Amino acid sequence: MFIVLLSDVLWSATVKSIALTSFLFDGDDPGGSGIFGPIMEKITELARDLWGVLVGLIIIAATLAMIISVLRGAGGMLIGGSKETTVAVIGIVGVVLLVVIAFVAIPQLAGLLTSLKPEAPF
Amino acid sequence: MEDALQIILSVFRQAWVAITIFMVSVGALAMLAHILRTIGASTIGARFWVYESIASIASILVLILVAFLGIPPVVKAISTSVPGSPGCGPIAELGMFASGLIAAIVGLRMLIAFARTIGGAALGGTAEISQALIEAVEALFGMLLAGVVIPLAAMFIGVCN
Repeated sequence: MFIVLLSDVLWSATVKSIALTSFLFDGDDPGGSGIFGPIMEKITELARDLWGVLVGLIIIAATLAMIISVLRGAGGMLIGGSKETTVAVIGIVGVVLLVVIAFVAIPQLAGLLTSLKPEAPF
Repeated sequence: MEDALQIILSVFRQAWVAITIFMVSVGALAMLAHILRTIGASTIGARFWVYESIASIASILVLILVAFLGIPPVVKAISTSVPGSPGCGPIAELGMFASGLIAAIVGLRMLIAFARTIGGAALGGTAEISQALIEAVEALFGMLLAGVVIPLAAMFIGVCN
């Protein structure tokens, strides 16, 4: 039940993060209107696909990591291993933190870098 | 000659925009891939992979920032460091044309060197950041040769008389 709830939360976060980061790979005019426009369009299309694949892989990996941590914590509780349980709980928190970084911080950083994109100095 | 230079420079400006967008896209994807690696590594308890991934994310970010904030001033400094072309007639014009062209090419080459370095950091390869600085020095020599030395040599030979 807990894992299903986490998966739902991760999925909704994914959808929102993709919607928020769509400006990064906006296919309307990604490479400008010059001669590199068509090439950049293809590259950004590939990058968009790769972004989706990586987001899906992160969801799967995070879900599996949390399942493993829950299993480890449950095992620790059964045998009285308080350290194992503590490490498992910290592991879950760490995975959630990494997913938040992936879905919130990286798009924000990419947006910042896009806004810092310099004009040609010549 | 000035019109031809502006047309070629406009193509180079489009290439500049395309490369910067490419760098941001590759950087964002590389950071996401390293987060995936961090999640996997932390799950199996491989702490060194976690360290490596976090260091790679930071290095990609710093490299893009250095490329975006550092290359334009260097290129502008190189462009303004070469004095006006001496000599006369088409030799002087060609010298200025070549200087402008070399300055634009060095900007693109430095950006490509940084893009290669970001690719290396994303894949865990070697960094080639020094190549960008070598490109800048090469360009300075090329611009001096094309914009000053060749027109001076032409004057010395007696073409301008």
